[in-house]
Amino acid sequence: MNPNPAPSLPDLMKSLGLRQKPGWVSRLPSGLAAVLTNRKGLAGLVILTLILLMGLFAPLLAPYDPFHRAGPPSAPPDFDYLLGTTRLGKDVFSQMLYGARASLTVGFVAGIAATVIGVIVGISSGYFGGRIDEVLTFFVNVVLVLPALPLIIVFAAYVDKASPLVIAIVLAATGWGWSARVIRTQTIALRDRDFVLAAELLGERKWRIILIEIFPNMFSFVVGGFVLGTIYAIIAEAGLEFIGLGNPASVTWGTMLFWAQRNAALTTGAWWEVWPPCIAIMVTAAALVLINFSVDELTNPQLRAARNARRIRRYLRQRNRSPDVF
Amino acid sequence: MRFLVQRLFFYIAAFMVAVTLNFFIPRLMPGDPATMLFISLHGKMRQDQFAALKRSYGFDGSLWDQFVAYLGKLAHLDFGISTINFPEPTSSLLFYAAGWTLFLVGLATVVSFAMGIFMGIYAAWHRGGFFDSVFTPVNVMLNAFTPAIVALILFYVFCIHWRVFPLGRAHGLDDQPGWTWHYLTVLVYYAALPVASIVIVNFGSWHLGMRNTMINLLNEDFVVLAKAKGLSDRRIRNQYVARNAILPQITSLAMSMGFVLGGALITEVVFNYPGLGKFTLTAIQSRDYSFIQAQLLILTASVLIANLISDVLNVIFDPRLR
Amino acid sequence: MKPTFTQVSASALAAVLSVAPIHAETVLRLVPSHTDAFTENYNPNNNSGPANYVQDFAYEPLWIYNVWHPDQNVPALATSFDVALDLLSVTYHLRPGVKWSDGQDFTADDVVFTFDYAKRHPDFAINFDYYDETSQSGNILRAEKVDDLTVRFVLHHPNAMAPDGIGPIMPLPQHIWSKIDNPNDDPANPIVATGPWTEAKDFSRSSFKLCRNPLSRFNADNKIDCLQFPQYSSNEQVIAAISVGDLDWAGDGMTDPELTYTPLSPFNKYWLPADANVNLVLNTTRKPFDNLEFRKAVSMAIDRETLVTISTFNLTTPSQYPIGIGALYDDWIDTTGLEPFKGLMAYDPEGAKAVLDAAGYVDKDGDGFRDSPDGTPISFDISVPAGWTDWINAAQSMSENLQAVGINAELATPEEGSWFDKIPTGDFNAYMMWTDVGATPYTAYESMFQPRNMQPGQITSSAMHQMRIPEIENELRDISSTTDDAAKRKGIYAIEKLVAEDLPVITLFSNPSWYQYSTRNFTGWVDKDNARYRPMLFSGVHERVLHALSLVPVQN
Repeated sequence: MNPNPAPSLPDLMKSLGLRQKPGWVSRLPSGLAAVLTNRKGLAGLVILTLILLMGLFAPLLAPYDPFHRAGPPSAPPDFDYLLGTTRLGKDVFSQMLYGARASLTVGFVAGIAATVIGVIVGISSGYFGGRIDEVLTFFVNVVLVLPALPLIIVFAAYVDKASPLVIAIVLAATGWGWSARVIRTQTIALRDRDFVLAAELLGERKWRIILIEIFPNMFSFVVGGFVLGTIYAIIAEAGLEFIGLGNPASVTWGTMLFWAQRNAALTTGAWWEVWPPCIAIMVTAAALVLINFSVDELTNPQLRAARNARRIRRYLRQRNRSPDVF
Repeated sequence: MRFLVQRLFFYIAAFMVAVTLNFFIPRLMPGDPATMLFISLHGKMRQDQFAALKRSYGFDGSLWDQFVAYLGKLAHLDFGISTINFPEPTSSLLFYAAGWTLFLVGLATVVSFAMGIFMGIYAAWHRGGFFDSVFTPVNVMLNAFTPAIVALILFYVFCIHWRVFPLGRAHGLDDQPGWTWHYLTVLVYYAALPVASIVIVNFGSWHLGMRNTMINLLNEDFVVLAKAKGLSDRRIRNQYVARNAILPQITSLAMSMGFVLGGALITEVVFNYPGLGKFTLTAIQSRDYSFIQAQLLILTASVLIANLISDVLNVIFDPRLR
Repeated sequence: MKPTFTQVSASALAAVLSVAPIHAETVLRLVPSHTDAFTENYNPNNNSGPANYVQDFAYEPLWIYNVWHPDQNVPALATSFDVALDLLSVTYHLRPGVKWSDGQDFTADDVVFTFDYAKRHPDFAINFDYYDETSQSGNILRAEKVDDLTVRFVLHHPNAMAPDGIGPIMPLPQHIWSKIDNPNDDPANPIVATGPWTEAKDFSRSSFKLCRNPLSRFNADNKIDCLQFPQYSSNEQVIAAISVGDLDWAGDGMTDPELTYTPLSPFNKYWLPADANVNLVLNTTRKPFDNLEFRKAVSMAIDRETLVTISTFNLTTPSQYPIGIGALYDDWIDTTGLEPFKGLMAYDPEGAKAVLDAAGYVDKDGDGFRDSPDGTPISFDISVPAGWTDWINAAQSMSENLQAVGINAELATPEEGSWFDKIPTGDFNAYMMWTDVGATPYTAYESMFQPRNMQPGQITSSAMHQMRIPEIENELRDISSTTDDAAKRKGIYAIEKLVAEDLPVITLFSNPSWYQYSTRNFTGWVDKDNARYRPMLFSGVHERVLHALSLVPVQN
């Protein structure tokens, strides 16, 4: 005697919040589909795309020249100056748009470079082991302790200016150690998995094993490393420029903060000079973090399940089943 | 054992390379200590004083000779003389600042770790719930809050506007250091805002790491078994899942602790906290080579030791890595 | 006003946390210089730090030049001096009855010793201009003791200006320093000096005090028991500390003081009198900067009004005449003689264009920028160090001004070290640069036009323009060999006119001297209406000790 007769499949799916018919998304490649069906991932992608477009079309969107005086000093936001002007009368909105270009470039250049180096070194070191591992780990350790601040001053002295690109190069050169370490540990864990052993027994070539068998299984770590590396680079660039090591004549979110601080914007009440770059950095980082979440869930079913855990538990409780088995 | 010895050998080699780089990189920076002091005074120092100062620092011999001399001194743990605080031995200032940085950044790291771990456990246990859906992303985003702005806002609001916390320093000018209850409370009171400004931007990553690791473990066989045995939720959560999930976090913590001696530059500058980050920035800006070298040296040593510890912990926790 | 919750808890916290020490003593708290931590070093000639604290306050000079009031110089360890008629010696009459703080008498022997000691330790910054045989530079041959209280300095060649260099030197006690072989390495602790505050007390990494010298002749009038030097390392911290009552006197940079400083406390006061002049320095050994017409056009193209009011936040003082010096020497400027040159300082882009056209600087290759008459394109950077925000603003504004008249000038912001490293070698085009400060414009002009400052490889920041003007060199020589004030003034006027005619530098504005004070604990501060001394705090402003001695504690 079952007091609760099993509900029909449509009802069950409805109560679990699942759609009956596959949508158009399901026709896309599975990876992309997974990101798109993930609300966090979708939100992240949309935000990041918007910021990228903002930076890309800055010359079209910006109402004023961000490098030169456009109005009265420290004008609060109004219709003429959407986000007000700086102490020197430069338009904050235009600066924020142009700043997106430099800051995102630094972030992506440093993030991508650090990830690529980190992945190559980490996988080689973890997969081949032995002498190669020892030598590569040795380099990783040296890189981990390279001092970024003096390096930037040295580089800048030789190219005359600590431009955002110099900062990106130094951040990439000093920043790949962490991701190499993480990737190496993961590679070692994967190396002894059955599917890798099977491929080896089948006589697959090494680079093929690395590329086809191991790399895809570390995708979330690679993306995670890239996302964190990019965020780190954007924040580190802002930090370096904030303490005056950058080129103050360039327009990035970091130099905007530098000028806001030097002009005491927080104490003079010129909040519009401080918050736009600050929020821009946060929103960019947030978008990257959201994408990272979705990639995590994509590659880790446990995390994906966590999304629906609440609904499933409620459903089980309704059906008088213990939710604890789940 | 063989593994450890080999590791140790390569760590020592990395250390030697780093020591060499740390000697040459600062010296490649343009300018010298006397010049930087002269510039910083914007013409308030006369030319003859400038000339005398340059002579008094007297960097004799080629770069190579200086390097050999540096290595020789280093063997006796002699870090040389600081130029900005001439003629104070670099080591006394270094250890002074290192002490405060260990306290400040060490405390902040431990607090961030503890906060992140507890929130991560809660979020994982109630995964998909309100706390998890709201605070997990928010905490991680706090990671991207510009540290300088956090510190400045805390400073202006709590120190200048409301005046509930001191403007800066590690303790008041009249507080006598000692193992007294009063002095300890003073230390905590003065460190509160600097620690808060570091924790706010740091605990999110611990939260996320702990949450994800723990969710992975929740469906492992041993957890299901524990549930089947009818153990209490609390016991399963704390003794079965969290205990296992925390192990990888501890290896990360060991790595982070290595970087503690890098200091918290911006926080230390805003709150005038006598830490290594601030001292090192000043040393870089004024080309105090011996101080830069010494700071990089202890940072290198601590990072490498922390790496070694985390390697060892990894091996203990995960026999596969052997 | 009702106290808010936070204020109540603040005072409660403060009460719990600090058992307020009862200060029976009157303490003046001041920040002459930023530092991360103090070291127990009281060496008066160590310019990397200690000089800021112990010069003037503990160690006294022979003579204090009151730069703003040359007629009101203040005798210190000497009571008077005379320059010999042949200008080949200077005799100082020392103050009788002065004792070093350890009880020994101060005598002529100490002064003679200090001179010999300076000669023996050329790397120790005592800065006597002694004559050096090998390089044949300097002037003072020897110091002779005439009697216990009279010292004569014998010169190599006649120089009426010699006292300007000798007066500010601080004699060292022979009985202490004769035992010190490496003066640069010596912390000079305990302090043995003659000034009003010589007892170092309560040293810690974050603060120390200099307290009353029991043997000081100032004690009868000196109301301040101790000077306390708390450690600070940033402008924000210093401004905040004055506002909450932790500090009385400072000299830190500010922006918009009316918004960021004055509102924070009713006791917060400041005054920013003009300091040394800032010039745009063009390397006149290179084309097109060697051309006078080009330099004239540059000067006319610059909008100095914007430089002062916007770029430098209205904290600088505009300079009126194209003479390389500014408001600091207002008393010394020949306003009538220089009237015809005022036009070079007025913003006149059309005039600048006309001058350039007439001189053949026109756009020959059609890139929108003017080229040299021989067709070589003109393009250069105006170089300013990366962290110096007001100068960066100014240089950027100037580059816009110059581009508006067709001169392709851009802003460059190298790191401080590499910026300065290019000066000695002459490897630069255009720099913004300060001028040297002295008691009279003579110092500024002397360092600006002295040929020894222009030797390739050893070019100094003051003579970067590298233009030798023989007439000016003659005038400088004449000034230094006369004791007649009217003749000196005439010489300065002549130099001003020559600078205006030749434009070796493009005059911009005067930097502010930073000076903040709090009337919470002390009154009697120097201000606009009572400008008796220069109020700045850094070492080298010897009047600062007189300023401190003239303060009156507020009775609570």
